[in-house]
Amino acid sequence: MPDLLAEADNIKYPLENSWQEQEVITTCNQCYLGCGLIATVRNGRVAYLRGNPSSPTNRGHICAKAHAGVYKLYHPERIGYPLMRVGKRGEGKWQRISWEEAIGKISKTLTPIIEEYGPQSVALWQNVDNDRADIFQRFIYALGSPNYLQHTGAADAPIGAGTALGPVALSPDYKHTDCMVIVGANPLGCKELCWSAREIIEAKQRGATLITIDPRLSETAAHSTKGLWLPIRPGTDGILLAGFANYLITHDKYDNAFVDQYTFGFDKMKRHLKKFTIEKVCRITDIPEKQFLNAIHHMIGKKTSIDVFSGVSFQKDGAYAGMMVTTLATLLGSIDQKGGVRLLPYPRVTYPAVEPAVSQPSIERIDSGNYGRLPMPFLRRPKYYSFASINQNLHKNILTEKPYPLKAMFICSVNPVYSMPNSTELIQAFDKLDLLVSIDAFMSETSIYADIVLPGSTFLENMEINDVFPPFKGAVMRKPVVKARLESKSSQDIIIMLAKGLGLEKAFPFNNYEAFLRQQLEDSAIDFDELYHKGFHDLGYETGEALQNGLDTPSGRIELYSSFLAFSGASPLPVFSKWQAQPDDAHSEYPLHMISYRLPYHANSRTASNLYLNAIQSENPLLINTKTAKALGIQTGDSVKIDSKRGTLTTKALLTEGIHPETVALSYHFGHKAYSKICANKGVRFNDIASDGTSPVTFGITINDTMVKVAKA
Amino acid sequence: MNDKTATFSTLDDDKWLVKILAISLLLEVFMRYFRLPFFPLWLPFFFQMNGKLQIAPHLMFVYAIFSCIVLYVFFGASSLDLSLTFLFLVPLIYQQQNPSLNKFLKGWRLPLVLTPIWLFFSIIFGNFPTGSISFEVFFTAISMRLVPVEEVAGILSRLMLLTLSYAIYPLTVYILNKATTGIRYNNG
Repeated sequence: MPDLLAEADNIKYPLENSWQEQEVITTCNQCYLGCGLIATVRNGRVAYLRGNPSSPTNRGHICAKAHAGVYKLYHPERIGYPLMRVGKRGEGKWQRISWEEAIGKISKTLTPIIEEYGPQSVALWQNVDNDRADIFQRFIYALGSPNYLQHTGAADAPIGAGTALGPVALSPDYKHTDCMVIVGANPLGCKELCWSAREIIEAKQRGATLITIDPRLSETAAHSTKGLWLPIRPGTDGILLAGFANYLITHDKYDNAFVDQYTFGFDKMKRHLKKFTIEKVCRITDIPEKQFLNAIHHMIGKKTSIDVFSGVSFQKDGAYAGMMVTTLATLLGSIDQKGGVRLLPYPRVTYPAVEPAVSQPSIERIDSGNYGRLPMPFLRRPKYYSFASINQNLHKNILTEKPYPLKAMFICSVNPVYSMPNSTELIQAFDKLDLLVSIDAFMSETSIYADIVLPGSTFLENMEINDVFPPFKGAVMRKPVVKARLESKSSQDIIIMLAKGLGLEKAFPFNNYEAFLRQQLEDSAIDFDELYHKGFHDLGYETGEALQNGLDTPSGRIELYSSFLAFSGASPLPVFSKWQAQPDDAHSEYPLHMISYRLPYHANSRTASNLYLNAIQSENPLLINTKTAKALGIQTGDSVKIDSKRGTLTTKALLTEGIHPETVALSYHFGHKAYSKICANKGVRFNDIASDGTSPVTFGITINDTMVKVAKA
Repeated sequence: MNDKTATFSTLDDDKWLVKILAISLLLEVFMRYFRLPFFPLWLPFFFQMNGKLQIAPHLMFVYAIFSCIVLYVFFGASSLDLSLTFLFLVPLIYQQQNPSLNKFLKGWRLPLVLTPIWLFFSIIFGNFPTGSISFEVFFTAISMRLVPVEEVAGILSRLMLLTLSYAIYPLTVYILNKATTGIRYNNG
């Protein structure tokens, strides 16, 4: 490994009067949101980052993660050169090779694999948080394989909400709202921090109500209007929303005109919701009736926005809870209305196909999913109508060679050995591969099992477009602020190099990713030059335009009774596993729900290695309710053992009143075994004991359904 | 078959009846597997009503019950209104000897007769107008793009489905003709 720390120590800082300083507009990629940045570059090095005041996303503000982006760029443990494994897999013995050698070795190994097992024996697994799918999908499809894999299904709630609305992204209109309902999301603490946190606080200052539904007193819940933090029993969010919806209908407090004009299947939903009486809903959700009524009365007749995410998504009933978000917002007349829930296009922009067009081969995918192939009526039902990859299936399918043997895999900035629950089985599956290539900036828990590691560059060295996640209709661009360090390259440019090395020049008539982007944007609504110079291109969005133009559902309306789900073989009306008689949790072997949460200054697994962010927090204690802890004889700082059906973790306890008594919470981000000396062997990995189940509707992860028992270690 | 318009009636071999029922059932399984909005299980009823079959009424009643069970296997409780519509065909068949009714039920009028029956049972079971089984819901949903009133879309949807189902009648005659080649027919 190159001694980058020594290199950093040898930097000779120039005198102030000799500084050559310039400012470069770019976009952050420490999380997926895409905040506008201005990088100050002095003598070819990034000195610091600040927010771009013109950016419609963050309006000049950035979070700790973005500030620390500089350290990612100059991290001493970055992979600087192509590496070839010389020891056993996972042993960590590498030999530096040239780019030509690396491409040659990959080509030499891959060609006989394709000849013997067919092109479907190759897969590519990409991090869509970092990059768009375009060039990666093109590469794997051009090879003749359908196996483009992205992150595993983890957005059940937004997808469930979308089953009634078609392919749109729900985006709360905080600017004009009177009442904000936030369900299982923590916009003030993590996702979309720089956009929504400010807008929520401004709305509160304007007098808007903030209602949060969360078992944990998150940063957002802590800002709730008095008495309107609803510390719900985990997994019952959909039931509470159904109770709210039923209350509106039975008390005739819903927006009749809106429902008549824009919905389909209201009568069915109305009948279905009758059983969600206040008494039963409050008993199951553990929300006092008084608080239930207080919350719903704040919504009635107000411009109400609703936001939902991870807390609800990562559970068995996530999709149907999401469907109830749409139902409740519809009954309140808030869908696609000012101050309600905006319906942004998903993705935000569509482009004409880049020539030559390359399409997905008609072969079953190795994860048995069918991302990109939505259910069509009158066609045979495939195994899964998945909306993302079903990566929980991967290790099983690779090990059993069903539906076929997988022999080679490219992994691009993903770290499934850390981020998937079944990492041991996944490592065993990797052993069945003849070729594992990792494109990454760091030697992650997954990269150490690779045969070839190619040095990916970081977001301050790359050109990329983010048109999936911005909170406006448009796109943002990252562009190289400085030259890529050492021999690293952007993952897109590496893919283009690999394609050319594998003889796929016809599908890749571009010299680099910039050329591809220029061609893609040529006849689109997005202007390349505007993106390049401003860092964003906002196409503008008029509230109400989605409803006026007709939604992309079979009926063109909000489908409260989902014909989409009816066709996909799932129940068109919400069904909740927790609705059935509750097991007596207090007396079961695993009596406590364990939920995960994010910290405001970390993003997924990849920022734990960041020196600045690691200095803020590098370990994850178990949050446990004071009363529950007292009954177990646990004090803050005690070592506690957390047992689930899948394993055991030991960490410190942190007692708090701010969590539901039947719930314990553990943040992710930590518990790395590799990745960086900065984060290795600090904290515990939530996924080691998390539920490895799959949700029934969208086949997503169910880590928030984990049941545990806790004892003093 | 030497006569395309020949009926299957009054054959001197009962095997053809078994074949018709078996083919109808197989077609139904095929349709459900590919999620096609046709009901081949209805075909023996159509044949009987159009005078192309002469099956004993009690046998048709047994077949109707059997059809309902098959529908229930595929669609569950949501198919009850459709199943009852099936059963309602039996008394109609009993009345087949009535020339005026027989004439009325012939040909494309049948979907028009069955639609209100299905609608009636749909209302009873609370499935009107949206529908309950997948393609019934889907057809109602797409009909909403033509007519903005859900009730009208619901009527259109059922009419459309029954008509589509009836539309495969000539195709099935062709298949049956092929399948029954070799059986000696009494074409009357």
